[in-house]
Amino acid sequence: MTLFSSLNVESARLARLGNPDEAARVARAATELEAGPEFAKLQQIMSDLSGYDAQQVVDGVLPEDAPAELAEALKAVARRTEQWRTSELALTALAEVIAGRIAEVHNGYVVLVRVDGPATMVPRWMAVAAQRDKVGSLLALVMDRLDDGRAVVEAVPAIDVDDSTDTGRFTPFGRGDPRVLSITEEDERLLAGEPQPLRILVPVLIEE
Amino acid sequence: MSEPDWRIRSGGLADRGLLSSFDCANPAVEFEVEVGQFIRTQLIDWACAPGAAGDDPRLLLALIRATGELFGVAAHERARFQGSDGNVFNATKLEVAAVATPWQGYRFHTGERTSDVLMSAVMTDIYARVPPRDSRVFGIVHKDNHRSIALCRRYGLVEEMSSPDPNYLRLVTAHRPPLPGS
Repeated sequence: MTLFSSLNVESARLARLGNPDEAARVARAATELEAGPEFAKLQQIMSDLSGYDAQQVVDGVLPEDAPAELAEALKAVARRTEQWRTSELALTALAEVIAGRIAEVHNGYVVLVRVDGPATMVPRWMAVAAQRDKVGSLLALVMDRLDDGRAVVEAVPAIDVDDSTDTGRFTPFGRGDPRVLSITEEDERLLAGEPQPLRILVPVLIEE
Repeated sequence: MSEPDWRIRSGGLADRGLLSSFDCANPAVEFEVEVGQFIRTQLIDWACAPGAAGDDPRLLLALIRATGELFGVAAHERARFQGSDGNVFNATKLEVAAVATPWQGYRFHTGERTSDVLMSAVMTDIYARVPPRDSRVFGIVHKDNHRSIALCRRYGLVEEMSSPDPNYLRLVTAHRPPLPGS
């Protein structure tokens, strides 16, 4: 099995926009990345998967019975790729990336909440295509500007490479998980109307 | 009228040490361990986070009056559900409520259960907040945590919203149906 770095796409984008020197530099970075230990590990793990499961991984879906080391290998490659991306300043000007977590799912759209707070609406079919149409899923929008009035927007599956903040496991505590406050239309019907008075069974005095 | 055997006070940064030894979990029950760990290691930071002041986070400590022993911990804050079409539902999130292991199931000599003292303190505190809190209260409980589910129901969290995760229930206080035409 042969895997290619997404930096090749960046290289092609640079070439298309008339930056041949930068395109060549990024292409070399992709080659270096693909020859590195992170890619080797990922390729080795992927080679042990069935063809179907491997395709699922490429499409952004981790099979339920995937080995734990697969997620780690994907994160390692993503980290290295991001290091290359940020070191190539030209890339940031070429394509803007909006990455975040799906906070709400509605009939026609999903609400994507960025890591730094602001939210944006995304057509639901785009999230479906990226297999990230569930509350809590991580999604990225890559916006490739064509001119002042037009852009190509691609929805791609995202993964969180920061192990300290996301283990993929739900926790009811804290303020970080949008699933805590996500509601469905059925919830909205439930919440409509006047809340019942609070129930206090034991008189309590609270000292400040 | 004599004072009760217990007292409730709000908590703050100075209580980090007090919370660090709070034990409410059976080590064999993962969801109980999760609650205990949150209280010991994260709750103070949650309550005192500068960026969260607008949500009015509140930490409540239940203590034995005579000894100062901590027998219960609870916390809540303002929350907002954002619905479709911009509908906003103000609410209060019951962040956590836990009774220390030695005091679980205990009744004071005047008959009150420790868990009732704690939950009544939460509801009293929500009721007394200025500016007023919405009396729509919700909490997220592990589906196998039958004691906590029963406690929530006793305090009016009887409706079940959609689950944020297959292992958890999201319970909310009941509502009167909207009036026709409203």
